[in-house]
Amino acid sequence: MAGVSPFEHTLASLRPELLRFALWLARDRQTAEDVVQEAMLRAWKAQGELTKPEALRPWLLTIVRREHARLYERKRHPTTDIDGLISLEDPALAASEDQQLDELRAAILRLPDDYREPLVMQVLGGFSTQEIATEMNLTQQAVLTRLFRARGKLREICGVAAAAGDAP
Amino acid sequence: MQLQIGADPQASNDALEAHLLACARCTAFRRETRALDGQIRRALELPLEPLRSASNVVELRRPAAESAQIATAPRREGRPRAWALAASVALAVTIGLVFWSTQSQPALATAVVEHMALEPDSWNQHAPVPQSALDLVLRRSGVRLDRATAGEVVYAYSCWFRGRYVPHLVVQTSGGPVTVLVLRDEAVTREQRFEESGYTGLLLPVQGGALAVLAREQSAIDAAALNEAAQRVLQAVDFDAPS
Repeated sequence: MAGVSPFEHTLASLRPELLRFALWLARDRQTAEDVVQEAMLRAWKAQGELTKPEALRPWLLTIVRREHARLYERKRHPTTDIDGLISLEDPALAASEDQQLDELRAAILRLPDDYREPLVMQVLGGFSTQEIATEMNLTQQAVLTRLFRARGKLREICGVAAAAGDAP
Repeated sequence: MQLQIGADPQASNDALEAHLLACARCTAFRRETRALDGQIRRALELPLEPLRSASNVVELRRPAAESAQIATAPRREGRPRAWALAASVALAVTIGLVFWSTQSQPALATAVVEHMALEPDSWNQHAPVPQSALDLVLRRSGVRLDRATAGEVVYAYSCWFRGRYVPHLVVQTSGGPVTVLVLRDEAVTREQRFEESGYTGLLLPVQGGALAVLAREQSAIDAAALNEAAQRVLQAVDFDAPS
């Protein structure tokens, strides 16, 4: 391959996934685009630090998460039209017959940042609770509690009975 | 135990599995939570349309004051950070220039052609790109485009290409779509024609960078038409816009 390095190819192929991850963190497409752009530039410059190719995806997701935190954590921008964001990201979604899925997306977007971020990291990013704890500078117990509560809120949206008993 | 299941329904360990064997309530809770997780995953895997059809609309709906706030947010953290950012960008550009100027032009043509494979749908667009979306793409790379001169832009996306974001445009011509990559800071010393992997194209030197203009070989665009399209874009592009 004369023109594009394998690293660039992989970066480009992972970009939609990084953008999706950033979008759920930032709740704003433009912010997510900026975060991913900066993250990819950082990854490009730091590619020599990546010794295990199989670690590329979590490495990139971590860079995206840190970049989002670095640039925007102290400047949470309210998304003015969450429902619009949902429907406009994919025209098909606007006419989706799966109303429950749409409602779930809206509910995830409305989760407090402290709950949404670990949930996105876990479900979409594939991070373990210990990795999330390390990344967010929390105890693992705190992460477990946040994840439990996040699912609890979403559980109500989906009409699933809440867990009884020892919920934290 | 429910905290563990509710927080990490995919987790499994000996103690948990032993507990589940004896606890119907936790077993049911895990089953429900795993089902919920499947729905959450589906919800999170939001399909993302290219910038032209999504974010521009979102941006248009955002109040102007908020747009300005977001646009300037990283700069309001103080002068040292601004200098650090500027130094970082300057370093990146310098490294990029030194590195890529050593690469041959055929390598650039090959990279351009290889990039086409990443966005096959770009050739199938027909609706004009909203001006706000085009502005967004161009602004990322510090490029201006006189749309009236360039022709009808039906696709615009910021693409990661050789270590930087570049505007990837598709311009509709009478003979069919023509792809334009606006390659700020790429060094091309002379006009170069290439045919590769089903594409015919031109690399054109421009002050401040280069243009890559391509058509598909099976299209009705011959060399003269491609050259005409390239010259129109060449006149329309301005690299002087601050990035």
